[in-house]
Amino acid sequence: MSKKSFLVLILVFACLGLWANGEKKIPAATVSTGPAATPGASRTPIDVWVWAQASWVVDAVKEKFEADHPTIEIHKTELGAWDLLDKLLISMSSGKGLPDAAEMVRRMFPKFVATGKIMDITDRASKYAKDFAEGSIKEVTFNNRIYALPTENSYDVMIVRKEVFQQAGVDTKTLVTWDDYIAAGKKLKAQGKYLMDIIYPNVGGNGMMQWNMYLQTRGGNIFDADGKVIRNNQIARDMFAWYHDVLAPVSFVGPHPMNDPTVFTMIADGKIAAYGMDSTQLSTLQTKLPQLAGKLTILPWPLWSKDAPKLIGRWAGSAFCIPSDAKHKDEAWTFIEYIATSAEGVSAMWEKGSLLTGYLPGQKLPALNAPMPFYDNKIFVQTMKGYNQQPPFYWYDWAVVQDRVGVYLDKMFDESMTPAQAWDTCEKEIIQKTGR
Amino acid sequence: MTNRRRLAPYAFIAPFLVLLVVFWIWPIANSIWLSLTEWNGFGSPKFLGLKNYADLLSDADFIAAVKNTVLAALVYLLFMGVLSLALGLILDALPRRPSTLFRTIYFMPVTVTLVVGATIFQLIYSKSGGLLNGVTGLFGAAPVDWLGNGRIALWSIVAMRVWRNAGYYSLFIIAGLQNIPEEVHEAAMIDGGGGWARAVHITIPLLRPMILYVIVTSTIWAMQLFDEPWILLKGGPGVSTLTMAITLYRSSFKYMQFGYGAAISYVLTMIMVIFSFVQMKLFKRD
Repeated sequence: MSKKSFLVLILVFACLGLWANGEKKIPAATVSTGPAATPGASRTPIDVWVWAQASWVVDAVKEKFEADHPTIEIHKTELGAWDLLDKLLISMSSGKGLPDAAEMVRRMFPKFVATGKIMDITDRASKYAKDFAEGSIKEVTFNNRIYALPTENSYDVMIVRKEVFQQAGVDTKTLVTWDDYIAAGKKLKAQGKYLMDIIYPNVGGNGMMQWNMYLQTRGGNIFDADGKVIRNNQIARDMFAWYHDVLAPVSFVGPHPMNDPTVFTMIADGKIAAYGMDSTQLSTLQTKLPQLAGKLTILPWPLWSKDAPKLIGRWAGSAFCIPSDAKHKDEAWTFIEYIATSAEGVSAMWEKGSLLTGYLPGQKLPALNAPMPFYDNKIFVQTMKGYNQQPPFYWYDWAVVQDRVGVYLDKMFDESMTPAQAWDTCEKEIIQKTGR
Repeated sequence: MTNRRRLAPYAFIAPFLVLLVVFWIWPIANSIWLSLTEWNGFGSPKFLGLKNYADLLSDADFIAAVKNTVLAALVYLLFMGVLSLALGLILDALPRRPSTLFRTIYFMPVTVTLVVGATIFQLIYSKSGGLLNGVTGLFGAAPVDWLGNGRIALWSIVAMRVWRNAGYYSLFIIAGLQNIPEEVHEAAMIDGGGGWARAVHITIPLLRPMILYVIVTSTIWAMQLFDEPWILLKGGPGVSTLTMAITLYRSSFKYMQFGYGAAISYVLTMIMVIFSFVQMKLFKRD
């Protein structure tokens, strides 16, 4: 090969290399998994941050959404819920690396809205406001402005193993009130089994939130509607005492965080007979304990007495919001509207993640009214019929409240304080730390 | 010398200096300023003077966290120091092949991801069916709630840290031992020095710089105790495993009190500086 031909060959390869490298820099060509866009049309990528079950939902609707909206492409980032909130906060503060839409833990939403960096979506969302469960839309509304669309609005439920109760001589059809459950718990205890589990330590979030289910269904609150801490809160004091004196003796209180394998193993082994949680855990149990298919059933949250109101407790639920500095706000709105209010979005939330929608027309969709083979063919929405009264619950400064209540639940359980002392000290500290 | 030649060295170190100022000096200076303010991460910080530091003195959680952190660090240093020194001495005395094998085995815990390590220890410490209670049960001991009992939980976490790091630090000890000239030992042997006398009068004194390094670096590491108590217990039960690093994270990112969080970080830094200073004085007294 002559020197001249060699140089020409090198030049050709260099041009090819540059061309190929230039091609690589088109992001849509490397990351899109959706249908191809119309030739010549450009797609707008939207960054969506989600956690756990919602991530499965986004995966499920992505293809259909992108087919229906050929100018939008979803780029999903899955994070742990608390990592997501930390990263969102930092991104909002620095203005860098913001998502276009982010899932939000509703009980933590007030502090995000207070930054002034969450987009006011009232103009777009108000047409849906009356169709959402009152509690859910209130939790994303501040000074009469809407800042997010609620998505998951799950109810607290009792998931029970029928045959474990039967072995203790208890028919699960007779389980209606807490007195019924506690009486059954004593029979289970005699067999070396537990009625339920109590997350311990309570400090850090989930343990306290578990206790909070009991407070909510008793109609209790930590704050009043004006955001002031309720003084001399007798319902909360009673719930501390009931938790310690009545529920704990028949429950497993060993150290375990939420979703800990210890508890799932104990449920699988029939050592724990009931799992009282919010309904998002239906899909978790189904994934973790496939061997229990058909052996579990769903019952409404127990009543405090036969004639007590059928109040629903919630883990606060989630929502989707748009940071005000997001790049693609219109596209992000299209996406969150789709997830929160379309038949496809609402159905996928339930089918993929057992995320019960707060959008009331969505609760009538066939997907949400289908029997669940894993859970004794129960139809969840029908099981919860009549239990649709959500008392208003106020989540001000919830990070502080979670820590304070968690610390004093722990002090109560390690017997360094009586339940009354623990609550009274806790109440004082919440007042002092929140200034409310 | 031309101007160009005179400036050349500065040009060469400029990239380092720029990075040092941007990612080291400026954040330190900024966080000192931040610790004197109230700031939620948005808008302008509000100057408070020393109020954040004064508030720390009456913050029961912070006081518990300081106590837990210092106690945990002292106990950790004691056990980790003794164990890594003993391991280092034993492994150095072994023939080459078994020494390499055991070094690898003892080093392995530090390569395990913290989350995985914490989860393994959660199972080991489990009150019902845990490995540790299984073993103690063989000797007739009653099951202990290693993580659920507020009086024990912190020490369970310290034990986990010692397990994780003793093998790692023993490698530094071995490196130190291998730097001691053979001639010194030979001379001592000629003078009639036995094994114990050589260890006390030659090995340990000549190891001092390495022991100091191990203790100072592991003190700094111990003071930043966060991952294990956070992953396993979120600082609970109650405040029994609450550490300064957890209060720092909680104040800054959960409560959005970045000024208060910065003040905690400076108190933590001061404690670490005092610890390191005392250790250096003790070890360099000769």
